[in-house]
Amino acid sequence: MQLYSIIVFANVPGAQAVSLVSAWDLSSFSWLQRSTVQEMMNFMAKTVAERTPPTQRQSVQENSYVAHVHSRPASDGFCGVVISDTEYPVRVAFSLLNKVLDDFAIRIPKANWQRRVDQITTGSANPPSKSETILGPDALPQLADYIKRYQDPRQADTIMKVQQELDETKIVLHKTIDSVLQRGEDLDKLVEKSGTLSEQSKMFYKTAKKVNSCCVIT
Amino acid sequence: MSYTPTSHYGLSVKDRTSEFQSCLENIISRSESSNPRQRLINGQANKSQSTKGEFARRAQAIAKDISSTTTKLSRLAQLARRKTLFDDRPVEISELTYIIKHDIAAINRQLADLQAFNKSQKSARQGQDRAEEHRGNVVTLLQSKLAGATTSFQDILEVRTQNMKASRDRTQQFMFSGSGPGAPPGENSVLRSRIKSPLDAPHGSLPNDPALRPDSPLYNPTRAAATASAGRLQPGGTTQDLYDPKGKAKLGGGDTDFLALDMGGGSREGSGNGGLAADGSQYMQMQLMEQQQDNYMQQRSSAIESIESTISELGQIFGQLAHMVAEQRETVQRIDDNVMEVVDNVGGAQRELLKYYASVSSNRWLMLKIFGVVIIFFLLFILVS
Repeated sequence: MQLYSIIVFANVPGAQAVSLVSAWDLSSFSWLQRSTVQEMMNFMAKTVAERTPPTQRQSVQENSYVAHVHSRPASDGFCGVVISDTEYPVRVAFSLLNKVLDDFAIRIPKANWQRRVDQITTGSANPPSKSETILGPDALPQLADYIKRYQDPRQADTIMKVQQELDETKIVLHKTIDSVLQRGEDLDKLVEKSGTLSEQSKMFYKTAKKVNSCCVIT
Repeated sequence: MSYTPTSHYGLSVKDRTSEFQSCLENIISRSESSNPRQRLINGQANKSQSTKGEFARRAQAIAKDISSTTTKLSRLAQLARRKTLFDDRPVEISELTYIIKHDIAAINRQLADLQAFNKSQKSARQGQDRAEEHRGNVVTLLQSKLAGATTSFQDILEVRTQNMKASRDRTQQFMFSGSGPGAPPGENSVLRSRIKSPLDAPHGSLPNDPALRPDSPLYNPTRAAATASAGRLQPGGTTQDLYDPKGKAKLGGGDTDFLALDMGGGSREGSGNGGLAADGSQYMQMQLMEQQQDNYMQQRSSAIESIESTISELGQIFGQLAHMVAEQRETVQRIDDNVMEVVDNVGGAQRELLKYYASVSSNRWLMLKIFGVVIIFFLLFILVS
């Protein structure tokens, strides 16, 4: 279960999408393949972002990669793409997208990128090169943090974490019940032994009394 | 009473006017006598009288507040009990709830002040136990009245939530049936009013476009289901705190439903009768996307449901565990009893042995005589052989 990249595009319907911030984690590919893979993913993300109407979520699969897109309403003008492998749970990807887009909306005001994006879409300025983003990698440092954390969806997503802890608790409880049953058996054995002991001590007492009462001679 | 007139009802009516007048005179004389007493005492201990009056005044104010709150509570109960789907007045109910909550809090504070005041007065005075007792009783009475009002408030709120749930289920039923004419406003009035327009459009177009006919029965229930589920989730977001952290995401999903509907409705009206086929495909596409939106929400809700079921399972396991341990408690008690018996028996046996040892060790004369007899027999035996 791998998360490959998180990209935020400036997306005006009808015009090309321009990437604003991105975070990549291509460590699973060999060093030679990395740049090719990155270009391909960039292209795929751009295409999907352009083709997603505002306020929609989509998941597009292309030979072993899945792009999850969530497009914000047209007034906000940006959309987020998460590229992962096919095993990555869809729900976690979309919740991650929600978080990233909310962070983006809060921290980066539209004025920062609106002008440059307009220039690029109208053709007066050149789009950035293949792997660069308009705002640079430091604009939203949480992205790098997110991509690292969400590599393990079970830990990062709250619902899955809760489910996992609950499952562990259930296992512990099953073991506890087994040990309680064992304890029950041990207690039964103890009861028997203490019963025997009680009988024997009673015989002991009776014998001692008998010695005392009769035949005082020897 | 010597004079007992019989009215035309056939009952004898007692004339107790004289009693009444004597009571009146009593009261008047009492108040008159207390007044000079008060004036006298006022001259001596002004403070004590003013504090007694102060207590009475405060208690009276609190009692008045409690009675006004009770009337408001009864009004709220009346409102909450209404089970109509229409004309449900959430604004008034929420306002009333808010007011009542604040009133109860204020009365609580006043009562606490009164109690503190009472305690301070108790420490200051020394005698007059009955007055103290009376004040304490008054405070207790007011507190119990307030507690009664609070419990009835809680009951009303429970009734209200149950009715809200029931009305929501009923509105959902209406939406599912697809016949939206009776679409009740209720609390999701915005949701319902927006649904109405696209629902009406396919209905109107049914005779015109046969291509759409197979779509619309599929389309309406799924759309109704989607929006009903979104609508269900949204009031869930407002009434339950559990959904609040996820409320933002869910509202986002709900927003997509609205805007998707509007786009379809808007484009539909714009294209008119000419582009019906194209709209059909757009509807199909939006239906697919709708299902995807659904998908995300459904996945979330199913994940949370699975968590809920796991937690309930855990609860059951804990219950079983407790049951087993409780069963074993009896066994442990039996073991305890057995061991105590053993202790007693062994202690008794030890006593007997000690007694025997004491008798044997103290009984020297008998022992000497016994040994003497044994030795005589032994000597006899040797002498004979």
